[in-house]
Amino acid sequence: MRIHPFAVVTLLVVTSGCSQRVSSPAVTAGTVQPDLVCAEQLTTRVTLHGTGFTPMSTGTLTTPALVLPAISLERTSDLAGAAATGRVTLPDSPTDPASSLVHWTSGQEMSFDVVPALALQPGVYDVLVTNPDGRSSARFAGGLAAVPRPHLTAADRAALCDAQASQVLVLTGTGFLTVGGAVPTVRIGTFGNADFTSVVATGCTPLAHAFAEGAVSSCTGLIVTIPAGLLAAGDYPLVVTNPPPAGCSSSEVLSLHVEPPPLVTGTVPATLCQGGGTLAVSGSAFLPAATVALVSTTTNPTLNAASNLVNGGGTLITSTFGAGAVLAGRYDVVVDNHDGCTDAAPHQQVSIVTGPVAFFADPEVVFNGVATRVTIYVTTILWPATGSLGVKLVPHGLQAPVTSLVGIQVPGHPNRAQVVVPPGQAPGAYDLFVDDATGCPTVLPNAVTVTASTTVAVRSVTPSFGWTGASTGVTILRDTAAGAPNDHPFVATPRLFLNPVGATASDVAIQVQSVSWLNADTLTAVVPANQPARSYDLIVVNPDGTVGLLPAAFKVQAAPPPVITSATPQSLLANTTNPVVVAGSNFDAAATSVLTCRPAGSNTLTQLPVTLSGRTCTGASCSVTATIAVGAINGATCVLRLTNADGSWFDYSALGVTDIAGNLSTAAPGLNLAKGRRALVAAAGSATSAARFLYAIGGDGGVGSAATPFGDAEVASVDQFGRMGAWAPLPRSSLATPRAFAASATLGRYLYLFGGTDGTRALASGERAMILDPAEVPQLDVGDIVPAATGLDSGYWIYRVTTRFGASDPDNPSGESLPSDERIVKVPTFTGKKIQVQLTWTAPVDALGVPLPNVVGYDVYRTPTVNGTSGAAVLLQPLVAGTTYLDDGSAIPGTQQPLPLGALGRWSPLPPMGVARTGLAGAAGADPTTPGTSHLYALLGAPQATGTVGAPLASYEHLSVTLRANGHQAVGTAWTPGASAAPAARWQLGAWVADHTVAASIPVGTSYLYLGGGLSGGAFVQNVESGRIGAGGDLGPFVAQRPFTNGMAGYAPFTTAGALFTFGGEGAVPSSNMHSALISGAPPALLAGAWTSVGGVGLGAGRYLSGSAAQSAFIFLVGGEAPSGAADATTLTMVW
Amino acid sequence: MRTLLVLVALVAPLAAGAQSPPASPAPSKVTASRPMVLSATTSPATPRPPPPREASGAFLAGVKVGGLLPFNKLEPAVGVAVEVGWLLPWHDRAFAALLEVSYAQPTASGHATDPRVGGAAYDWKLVQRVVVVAPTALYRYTRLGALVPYAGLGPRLYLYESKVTGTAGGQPMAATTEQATRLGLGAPLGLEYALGPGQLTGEALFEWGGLDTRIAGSGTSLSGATLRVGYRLVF
Repeated sequence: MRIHPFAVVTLLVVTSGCSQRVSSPAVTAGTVQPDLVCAEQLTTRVTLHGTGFTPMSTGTLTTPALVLPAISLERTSDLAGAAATGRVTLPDSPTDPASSLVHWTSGQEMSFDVVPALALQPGVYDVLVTNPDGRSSARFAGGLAAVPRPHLTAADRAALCDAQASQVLVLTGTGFLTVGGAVPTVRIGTFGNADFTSVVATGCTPLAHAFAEGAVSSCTGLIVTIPAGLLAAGDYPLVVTNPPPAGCSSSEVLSLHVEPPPLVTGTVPATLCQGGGTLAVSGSAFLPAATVALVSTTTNPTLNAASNLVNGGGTLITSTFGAGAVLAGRYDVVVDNHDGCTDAAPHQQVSIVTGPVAFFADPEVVFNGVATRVTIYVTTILWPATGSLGVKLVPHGLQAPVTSLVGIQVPGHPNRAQVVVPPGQAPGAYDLFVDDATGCPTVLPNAVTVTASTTVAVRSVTPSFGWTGASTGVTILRDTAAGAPNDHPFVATPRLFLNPVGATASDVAIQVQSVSWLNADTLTAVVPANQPARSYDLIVVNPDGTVGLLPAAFKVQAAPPPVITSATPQSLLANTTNPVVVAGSNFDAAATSVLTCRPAGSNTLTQLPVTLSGRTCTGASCSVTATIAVGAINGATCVLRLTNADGSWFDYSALGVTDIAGNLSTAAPGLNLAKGRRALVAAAGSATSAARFLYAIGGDGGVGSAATPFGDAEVASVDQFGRMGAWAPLPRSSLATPRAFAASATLGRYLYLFGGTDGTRALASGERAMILDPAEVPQLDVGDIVPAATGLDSGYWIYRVTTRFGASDPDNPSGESLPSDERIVKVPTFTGKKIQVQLTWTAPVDALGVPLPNVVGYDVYRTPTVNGTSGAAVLLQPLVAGTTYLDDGSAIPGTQQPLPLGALGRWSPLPPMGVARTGLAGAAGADPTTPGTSHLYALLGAPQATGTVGAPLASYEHLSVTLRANGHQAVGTAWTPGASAAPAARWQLGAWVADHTVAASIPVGTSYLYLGGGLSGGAFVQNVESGRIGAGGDLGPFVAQRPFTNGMAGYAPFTTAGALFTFGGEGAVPSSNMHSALISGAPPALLAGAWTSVGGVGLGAGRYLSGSAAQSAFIFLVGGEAPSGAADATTLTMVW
Repeated sequence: MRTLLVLVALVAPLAAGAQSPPASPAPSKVTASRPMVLSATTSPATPRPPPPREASGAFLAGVKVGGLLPFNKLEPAVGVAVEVGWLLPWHDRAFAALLEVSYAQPTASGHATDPRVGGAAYDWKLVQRVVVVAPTALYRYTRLGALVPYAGLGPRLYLYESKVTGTAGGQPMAATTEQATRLGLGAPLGLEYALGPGQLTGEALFEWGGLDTRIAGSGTSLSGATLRVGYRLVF
């Protein structure tokens, strides 16, 4: 299609007819004044300076109108400086100029009004000016900040009284501005800043902007100091106005009430008992929160009323006072409205008359589900002829309802009364009123809090039984899986109560002793002996008032529980039926048994049924055959539980499981020693049947350090399944003579070391130490708590006491016992006084109840500060001579802590051997004819002088040990040389003692001692001989047995399950080989094939000169010489 | 002004085209006149009547000056104009096509109250510049000899520039300008009188053109009458 040129022209002409364009001059930005406005309440004119502000006349030929440059505000950040958005265009219309907010003054000046209707968000704004052409514009960057009005949210006091002193009023809110140092104006009625002493802004945050007015901050508080006498009584509105140019005012309706001072016209009675009482104070203008205080007319401390009850008209206050006023003192009765005014002098007065003072109630928190015995501590009680006191429980601060109780005397403590708070008592805090025969009552405000909140879930009490004849240590676990609201933890330190199941109102809960808070989930405690045999609910009462309840948690048995002392054989065979002879005491005819096993490397426990048969008892001593069903897994460790018909039980730990051939399990790594030790002594022992330990004693640091052996020791705990705890240094128990290459033997809780080398010469000396018995400790009690001028601060204090023994004590010379159970004392608050704690304790006794000898004093330990944690007690007073101690707060706590469970007593010297020996073998065995007598054996070895080991010895010597009924041991006066010498002299040899518990072929009452091979000069002696322990300890002539098949020395010997074992030492170097020999049916002969290598055990890099000990069905190989010659710190474990 | 240049550039080719002989009728006219030219050559002594005037068109150009009398608030102003055109050959050149470009600069001023400015009042002054491009069809009554009345009608393209200034509170308001282009209509009514080589013209122009700018006001127009005199040459 052809387009005619004329059409194109026509189109262009018509199109161009629509064009229109306005051009205004360019605009430049200068200043904005003011640059701070309040976006609310006010109209603030803001002036802009710049150039090119050009209005445009429009409609000149019709209706003239002037179009002004447009002004808009663009929000760029909030007042804190964070980025923000928002845009507001200021209203302006030439057709409605009256409502316009924009004004033109000249080409260099314009202005606009910020009005509330703009609803500007607080923040910083750019100001944009745009001429009428819409293109010429200028930006005043950050030109204007808008702030909100101040918000007055609260005053710290709704009322005050400034009649007597200047008052401080603290106002809180937001948006209180300081501008260039000017603070907001506070108006109280018609009074303003100029009338006040000061107005100070607090909580100020600088605004992130530079203002022409100076620094600007937004504050949250104003502290107004009102001068005395400024405000007359009445109500005043409170208003805060910010400084200009952002001078908005708070609009919240807040007022201040100004009150007149209180006026006291009378007090009844005119006297008050020393132990407290009630005063009725009459007068006027008493505020509801008014309190009454007794202010001494001399210098005695002021006594504040424990509670105040103001009547509705403000004309009478009934005040209850506790103890604390000084006898015969005169006191002003001062009413304080706590609004700045008290009643003016002269005051009414009361005088104090004598009377008892109650200062503590224990426990302070009572669960209303049980009847709880509460002990009331009073300074003095004049007991009425009836022998009982009138005691009232009244809700704190009230006069009723009254719960009347009967207070009876605590035996041995005439100044203490016990009451029973009945079950069902309404929860809340109570004041305690005590009336004795003086006629002057005493009041203990807030004495007891009754709670009903059972929000602590208790999971278990272990053991769940005890017997009337002994106290029982228990562990209480919280049910950590319990959900809210029953997930409240144990709070240090709770009170525990045992309440009879199905208790009546007259049954009183037993308070459990020595409660120790281990953590939020675990408590330990002691159930006292001699409690009625029945089932009890356990109640845990936290200090914060929360309570846990475990129904039927504990049972006190009338009969003693069973005890297992031995099980033979000591290990089980896998995948077969295992008959085990169990010996002990108090097995009843209906006893049952079960075996619980932990497979190697697993924490999953399995159980095997056990059938008991053949029970025989002589007196309390019993034995029974326990036939364990098939199913034990090789390498597992097992615990045998025997349960009597009454539910009491005993766990015997532990029985190891070997393969059907009796081979030991594969060695597994244990935990490392704190330092490497070679030629050390390893020993195992128990503090209690459940507290078992492994010890590493002496030794040296390796070939290069052989001249300086160690005198210290380390200890590690071992649980009933053989799991080790970490090694830790054994405190305050170093050997008298550091030694290595010593021999050792363990008898009961005694560890014996003898011979060895001090680094340069062989030793003839020996030492022994006792594993301290937690039962042989003082029994600590609180004799009294006494108010005095000096003493302890209120709160919880934890005490322990240990026994100190004299230098002549054969068990623990110059040593210290384990500590008593913790005794937690709640020291009450006593106005004007502190509290002294009188501790009493009983001397420690042995298992037979006989006091321990050689006690020279006691060490008192206490937490160093109030409200310390359990286990944190430190030495407070050493060597207290008697069995009482008054803690008056003057002693300065030290840093030493009591010995831990597993600690040894001080090493005690043994009689010296006849011959100094190093690298000897040690053993112990029972005398075949004298019950309660055993013998220690120092076998062969070598002399050493000036560091050189001499020709080895063939002799031996023995020392008798008497095992006393109380568990203690006495050694003979001298070692006795053996009648016969071994056929071959040697050192670095091992020795085994085997009896019927090791090999059934050995008759009961017979023990054989085997000597293994060793070194003689540079050659191996592969001889193996045996001797029989005879009456008096002599071994008789040695009989040659099947010799070693390899040269071995410095190996670790061990015997079990009818076999003799050696670990390592092959070639007198670190070796991973193990050898064994079976005792034949004609002991002491060994079976053919003896000393063949046993594979599969895996001793890692090998062992040489390591220590060995057996504990909880595990063999522990400890330290030794590493291939480099240095001492080794590793530990290996094997189940046997 | 840029619009004006574009229009001039576009109109010029049209004007040039108008000078070319018409395509169809021209051959017969040329054929008819050629024997008369030969006859004159062969008989030079015999007086001949002048060739018929309608025998061809002619180009014309002229200038005008006069006074603009707006029918609105604009004050009277002097205006000038130039024109070019083509006298069509028919009917004794009674018809012509013209293109006129004129310029005038009327003004207006006033006073208004406004509380937003200093003194709550302001004075304003408008200078309204206008260039008009006006293609016009013209009829000339040529039978009166030297006196030729004419009348015309044509569209008008108005090119405006409004410049407004003012004062308020003694402070000057800088100038704001507004440019606009509008269409309109014009009707000239005049009289030619042969004088010298051309014709003296006197003319009354009645025109209407939309103005409708922000400065002038919505719905305004530039309507008025212009009385002017000029001189027109025919080539």
